[in-house]
Amino acid sequence: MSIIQSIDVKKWYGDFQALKGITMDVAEGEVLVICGPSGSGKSTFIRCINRLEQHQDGQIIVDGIELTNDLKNIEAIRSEVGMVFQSFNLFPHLTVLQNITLAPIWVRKKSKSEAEEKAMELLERVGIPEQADKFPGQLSGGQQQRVAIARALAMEPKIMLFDEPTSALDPEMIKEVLDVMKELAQSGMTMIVVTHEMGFAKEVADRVMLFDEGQLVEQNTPEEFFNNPESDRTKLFLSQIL
Amino acid sequence: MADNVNIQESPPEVQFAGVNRWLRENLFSSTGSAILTFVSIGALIGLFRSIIGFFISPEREWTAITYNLRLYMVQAYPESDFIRVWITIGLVMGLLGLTWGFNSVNEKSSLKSTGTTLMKVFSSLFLLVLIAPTSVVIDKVEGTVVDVFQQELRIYLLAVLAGLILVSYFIRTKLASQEVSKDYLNIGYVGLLVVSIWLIKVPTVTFDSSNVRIEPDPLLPLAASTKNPWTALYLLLVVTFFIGRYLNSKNLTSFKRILPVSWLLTPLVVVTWIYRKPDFTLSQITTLDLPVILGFSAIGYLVINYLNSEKLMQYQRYFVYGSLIIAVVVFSLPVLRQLKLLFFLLWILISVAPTIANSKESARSLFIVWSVAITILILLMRGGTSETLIVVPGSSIYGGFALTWVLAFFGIAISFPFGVMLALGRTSSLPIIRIICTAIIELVRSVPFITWLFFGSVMLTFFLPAGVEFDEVVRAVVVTSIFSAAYLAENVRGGLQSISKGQFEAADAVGLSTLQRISLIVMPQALRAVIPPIVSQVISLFKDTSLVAIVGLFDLLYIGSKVIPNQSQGANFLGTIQENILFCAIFYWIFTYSFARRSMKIEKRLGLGER
Repeated sequence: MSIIQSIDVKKWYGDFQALKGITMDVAEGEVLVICGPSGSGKSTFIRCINRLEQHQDGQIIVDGIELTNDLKNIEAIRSEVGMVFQSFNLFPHLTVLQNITLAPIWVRKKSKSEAEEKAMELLERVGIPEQADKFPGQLSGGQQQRVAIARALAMEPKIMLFDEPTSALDPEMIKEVLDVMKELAQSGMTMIVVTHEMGFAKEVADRVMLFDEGQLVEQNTPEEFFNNPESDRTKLFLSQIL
Repeated sequence: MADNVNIQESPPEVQFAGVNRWLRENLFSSTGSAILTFVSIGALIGLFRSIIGFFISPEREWTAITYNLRLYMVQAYPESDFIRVWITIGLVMGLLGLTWGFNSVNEKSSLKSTGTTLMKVFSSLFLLVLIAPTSVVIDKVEGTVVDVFQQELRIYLLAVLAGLILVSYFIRTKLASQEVSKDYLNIGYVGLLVVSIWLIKVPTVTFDSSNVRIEPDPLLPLAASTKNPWTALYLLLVVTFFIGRYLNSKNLTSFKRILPVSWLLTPLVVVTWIYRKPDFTLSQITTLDLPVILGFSAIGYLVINYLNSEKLMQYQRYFVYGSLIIAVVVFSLPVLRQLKLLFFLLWILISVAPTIANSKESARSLFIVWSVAITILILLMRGGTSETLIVVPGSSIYGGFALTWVLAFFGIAISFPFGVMLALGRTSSLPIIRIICTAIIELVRSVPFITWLFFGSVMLTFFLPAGVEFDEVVRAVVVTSIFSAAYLAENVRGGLQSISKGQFEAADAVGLSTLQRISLIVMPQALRAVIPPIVSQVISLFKDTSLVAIVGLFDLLYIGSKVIPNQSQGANFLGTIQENILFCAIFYWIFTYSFARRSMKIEKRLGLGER
């Protein structure tokens, strides 16, 4: 049973075609890693999944709901899909705890105490409960990204999207974020991860994809993808980054 | 080695290196800077000497101000109705005390900072007395020199001030570790002000029984006729402060909501009921207002409870459009103004009720808010639209500082939400709204404020339906707020542009609706970024209220520049324009400067998240 279905999705920025017909699906509980060079359309694609970008042709169906211009569908899908950004995008005027409880209180209509209890649980899970009352600007990059993960999880999403979550981090901090993501993957969350962390892909992913120039070049299990790449493009890519 | 890793060194203590070194490093670091220092100190002393000379010169008729303080404050407001003014101030004082006490965090302040402040004040006064001129030239042509400051008085004052400096130095050094509650300290400061209006005596004009001015002017306490009410108000402030603190300790969360609502309502109640004397009969309320209130409450009840039912939900769009058309039609009909407003409110209720009242509980609270709001609104309008029974010469019962206050307060209060809406409209993705808002902003900004005032005063009547006419003050308020809103909108738009795209995306990604995104994420950050320009705009609005004199209103500055310098009956103050203008300047400065100081504190507090 696939939870995300994408059929021939196309997207243009002006005259430039960013996505040239992506057809794929993701099963429930699957961890999918998308890699590829910059400008290959991988970020654009996962941003289409929760409608931060609009696709112009094709179909995207998330958890049985098709993404159209209907605002109700978009809001329904966004509350099912959590997203973690490259630049964290925490709300700088709110404390860590407020960042996490904001959406559960206003979108899920939870009571404040219930939301805070859940938020503390999540902060415990990502390993920084002691930072709850600080502002994002007072945290390190790795801590901020973990708060961002907790914020997305607070909505109890079925799917988590990660848009290059470690690219803006110092090497030392990458590990603490990846550890949280590994733990999340093991708990059975459906995840789509755009990343250059091949170690993470090898260890955690169920499937790895390569995007290039707006096209899905190759997809396979991590063992096959890294050891027996089929296309030349994949071989070239792997030789450059490994 | 490993043991050394965790040793934290404390930074070297910065010690004050002594006056000599400070002087050498900061004022006399080179020949050039030494010359500059001497020249500027000399210039400053010269400037202050001439300013002090101006103040204490026998030519100055300061009685023009002490005698006319009442005129400055409320202009021609009749003395028999002064109790209304005092009730107004009393309401504000009471609320101020409650808010202060309720929000008091019991902050302690060391006496060191108090001592430092006192020392700065007394040292400045000491210096001023020291450099004050002994004599001034009063006739530039003949060069007549008059003694104004006797040497004995100077020495006496210097001795007193030196004593006070010593006392504050003692507080600063010996009692530095003592801590006192900041609240008590502030109560004490205000108390000093109240004591000073009893003790400080100023020359005042008085008349004998046959209405002849008594010479020389006797010295009377600063607020001779108002010191009793002021003292009572001070006591009210202190009492309400403690009540507020008591309520806070009881943890009354509902009071937290009542307070801001009371602040919002107070000015409305003041201008519609208390400051005027509305002319109406009780039967008007029972036969006209009560049925309207009950009727609209009932309609509201139906809307809130039944519009979101399955059956009617699909027609919601038609209800919204229908009620809008009804509201527009009613607006153009010659009916009570109350009804016109209510139908518009009903339209808003119909548009938002289905989304807000999604549970039994929220439907109930929305119904309560609706009924209370329309009740208050109807009663306020009953007071505000009735004729006032207070008879004053001139076009308006508001004058002097009361007028300045009304214009500034309502100007700011109305222009703020309006300006924010204009800014949002201008950045909206909906083309019609964007074009309308851009047009309003550009049109309002490109015509001078005075022109708009004339427009409001002379031409507005042509554009309103027949029979609708507003008071001159209301027109001035409307014009001021619209003008200020256009500028505010541009400031806010600047703030909106400073919000990164990532914030919008993050808000979208967690599923916030557009309204939530704007009110919870975008606006708080945007407004925080533009506090400095908004504050300077508020300050300039406060000062620009003086321009309403041009359409015949008697504001503070007009009284100072035109009315008092032309008083020739009774006390003769012909030509006292210098004194009066100076007084107005100081008066404006006190308000705007304290406002700027306050906003600096707010900025500091809000800046916390940005670190």
